[in-house]
Amino acid sequence: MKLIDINVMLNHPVYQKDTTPDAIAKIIDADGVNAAVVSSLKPLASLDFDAGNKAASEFVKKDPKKLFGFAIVNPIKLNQLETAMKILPFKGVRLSPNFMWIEYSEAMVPLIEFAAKQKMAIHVSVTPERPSNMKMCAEIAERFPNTPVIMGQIWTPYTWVEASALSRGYKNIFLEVGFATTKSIEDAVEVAGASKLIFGSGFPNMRPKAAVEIVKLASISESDRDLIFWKNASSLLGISV
Amino acid sequence: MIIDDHTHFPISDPIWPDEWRKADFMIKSMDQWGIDKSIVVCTDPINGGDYKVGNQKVYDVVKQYPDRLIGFAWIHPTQSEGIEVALQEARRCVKERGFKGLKLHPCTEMYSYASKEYCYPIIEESIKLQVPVFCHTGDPATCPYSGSVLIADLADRYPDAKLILGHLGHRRWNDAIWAVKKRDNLMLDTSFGQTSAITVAVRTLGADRIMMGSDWPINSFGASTGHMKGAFIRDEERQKLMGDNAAEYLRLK
Repeated sequence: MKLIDINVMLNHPVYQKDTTPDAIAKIIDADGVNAAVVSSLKPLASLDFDAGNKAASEFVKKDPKKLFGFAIVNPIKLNQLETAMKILPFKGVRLSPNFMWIEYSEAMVPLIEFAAKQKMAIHVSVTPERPSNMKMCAEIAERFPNTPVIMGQIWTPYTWVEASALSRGYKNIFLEVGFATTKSIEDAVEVAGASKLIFGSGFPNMRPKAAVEIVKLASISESDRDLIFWKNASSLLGISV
Repeated sequence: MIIDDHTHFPISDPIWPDEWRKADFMIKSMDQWGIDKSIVVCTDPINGGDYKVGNQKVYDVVKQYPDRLIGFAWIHPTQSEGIEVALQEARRCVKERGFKGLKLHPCTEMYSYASKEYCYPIIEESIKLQVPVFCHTGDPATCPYSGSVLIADLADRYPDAKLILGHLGHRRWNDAIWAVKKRDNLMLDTSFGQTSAITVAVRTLGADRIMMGSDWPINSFGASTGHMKGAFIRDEERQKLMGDNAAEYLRLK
């Protein structure tokens, strides 16, 4: 079985010792992850986005065939993404990780345009409460139909029901399976199709191995499981495993 | 004419004051705050009661005050008699009793707006009956299966349905405004909406697709009219929200 994990968090401010580069490298190996997309959560506490993206790039450069990066920026600061792309060709950008509450507005468009030109994915964490960021995903997906929008960290099975319905309506909205239940995955495959689901554990909140087991227990076909575990990420982000 | 698009009568939970269960108290409250007409729905089902009994109470009070109250029928498709009885109740309330719309409240009745078995048939019936459906909203943390995104999906699946997105999406009003903006068959109800959200809604959607509601007596007429008066919108927009839109939507003119 091949596995690409698109959501591994480096330098998590709350779980610092679990999310050092060395600690993450061990987890990735132990849990059978063939390729991982990492992002540094350091700026969520420090607000030093350049330092966070630099930390992610340094980690990725240690094993560039296995490690890839998503940048984290303030969504209205184009210069932060431009700076990040000068130090590493990040595969995507996280616009609203949990704990950074900012809503979609025209002020974000220059940064998203830049990301679209760079063929980056947009990763948006969604939440059960306001700001859910679902509107943000829909607005971006509609305006940038060729840019993949990944709804990440979909907490609660009830939020999954909404996220799946939204994904159904947009060919470029994808659903990250970290924190999904088996039923959420089965429903999402039925409503949106397996081509819309993408594996991301959200480590350190969830071990990749645990997230894998949830996908394995879902009543879906083996070909759907392959799409979720690695094929969708491979084609969306251009990662070979 | 000032119209409140969402009130409850009689309030069934015994924690509330007895006077809230008296029709003349409701009418006096409407008078106090200048409300000419109110759409009224029962509350029995959220307190474990039979929705049909609640609809009967609404029918009785509307008969008592036909110039002031407009009935919407609460439909509880997961109650034990099943979906066919729910559809019969919808038909009976609209065709025989003059109710002007239906109301759905999935999170307390354990179904989803995405349910083929329980929700879609009600929406299909509403299209046949040519009445709107008031859709309760809540965020998944506290009121699952009832979010604006699911109502948007329902509106996409049923372009001929007339759906009222209730409570301005609750805390997730940004999703509610987005949903209504993209879909002509959605109207937005402001009950529980704050001044700021109402202002953003009008500036985003214009003033033609928003109706004032209070959720009385859970929220007072004073609060809903106060938010209207406090919203940073023009007087002519305010008048549309506070009555003109509902009158046109329900063909009361």
